Amino acid sequence: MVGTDGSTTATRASAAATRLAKRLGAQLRIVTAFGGNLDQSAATAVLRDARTMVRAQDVETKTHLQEGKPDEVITALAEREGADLIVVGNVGMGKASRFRLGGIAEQVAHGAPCDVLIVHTREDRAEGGSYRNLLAGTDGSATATEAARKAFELAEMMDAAVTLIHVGDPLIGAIVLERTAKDRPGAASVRTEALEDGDPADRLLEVAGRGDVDLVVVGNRGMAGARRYLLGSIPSKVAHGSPVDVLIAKTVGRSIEDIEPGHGGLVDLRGKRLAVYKGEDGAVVALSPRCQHMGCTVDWNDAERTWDCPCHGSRYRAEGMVFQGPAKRDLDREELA
Amino acid sequence: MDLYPWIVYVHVAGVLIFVLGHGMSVGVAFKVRGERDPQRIQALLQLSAWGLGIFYVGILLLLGAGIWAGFTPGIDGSWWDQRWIWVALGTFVLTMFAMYGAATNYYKRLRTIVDAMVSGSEAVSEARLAEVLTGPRPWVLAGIGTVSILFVLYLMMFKPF
Repeated sequence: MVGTDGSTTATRASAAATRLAKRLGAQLRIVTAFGGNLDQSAATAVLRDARTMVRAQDVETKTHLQEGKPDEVITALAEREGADLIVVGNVGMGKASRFRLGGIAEQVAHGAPCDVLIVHTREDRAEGGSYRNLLAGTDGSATATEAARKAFELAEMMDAAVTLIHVGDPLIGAIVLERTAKDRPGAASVRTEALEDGDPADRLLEVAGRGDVDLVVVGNRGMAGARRYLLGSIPSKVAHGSPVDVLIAKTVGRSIEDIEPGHGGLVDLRGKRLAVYKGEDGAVVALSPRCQHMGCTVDWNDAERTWDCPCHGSRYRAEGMVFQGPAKRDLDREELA
Repeated sequence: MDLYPWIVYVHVAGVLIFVLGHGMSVGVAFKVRGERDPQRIQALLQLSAWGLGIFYVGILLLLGAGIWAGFTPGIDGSWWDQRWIWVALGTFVLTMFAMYGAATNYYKRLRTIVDAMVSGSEAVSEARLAEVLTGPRPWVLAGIGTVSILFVLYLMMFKPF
């Protein structure tokens, strides 16, 4: 899904989205919101032009014209239509709107129900949307591993390579990088790099600026809530400072539908946090994420398909059976109905 | 019935349980320094973590009973009118924070390394494992714990102020 108001940056984002859709064999939905700076007849003309441009590339497309604020229209439509990805430009889509807190691109990135691709539209880059070398960072957490998994899957589809970095303790970095690379889906080429201490966002931007990377993939952890204002967030900082395109993968705030078969993750369902594993056959196992040792919250270990307690090392199989202490009992089962 | 002796009894029993539970972790902290088999180290770390359950029960009892005992009226009012009990409580709480800070990341790191080695990781060599195991952290932890507990014991026994 891509939004356009006919501005230069929106047109460049649409072009990148078109190339990406063509490469992946995906359908592209074009959205134009009217009511602000754009009246309905102008919006209709913008949408028509965008559709013509996309169809000229033999990409299947659908258009949506709706009244409202652009970011709200895009995120609501993405939710309703079940979009996999929203593509936005990084300088805002209206002339008065710039990429800053409150700008359209950032508002979409914060409220999106799916992954968001922020296309670098400050210069016209004919290759935008077609990637050869992806960069992802990991700290070994479930959300970072999920972002890395999405990077590997995208690399596989685009025949691209992945550079995977860890920032911090080099010994733990070597373990995390080895595990993440070894258990990657597909056979995308991967290069790992363990970097010494530093701000993870700064180090990601440093590597992204070397010139051989054309897409940075980060998870959306810290994109919402107080943490975003109090502590800053890696995706926000990377999205603001990246010299190349940024894919913000939805790794937190996921629903059961977002979890791929063979994987697990923490899901908030009706105000309750659940540890959910989806079997290869799609069967869902819902568990309490409370460790039976001392009540810490377990996290999904995608490399070994286990639930691990970060406090004292108890480990449980995907279906909740304990196989490593100190916990003695299995995770409690939860009802989904 | 005078409850005070019973409160002190629970307080001392709490200390005993605390020492039993935490003694396991202290023993493991020094025992693993000489180990090089990741599976044995993993088992020892599990034992140490299991002992923490007992340790927390002990802390709950000794703190709860200690605070309650402080309210028991004496000749000159309650213990809370005297400074030593505040210093003892403050020392104990500060020590808990210090120990938590010094121990958590160290053991988390060690567990990650050992779990990876048991799973067949090639990212950590035996030499690197030995380097981590022979580091000074267990001595630092034991030092902080021993000095502060001896100080609290001194305050309780001699009530210097």
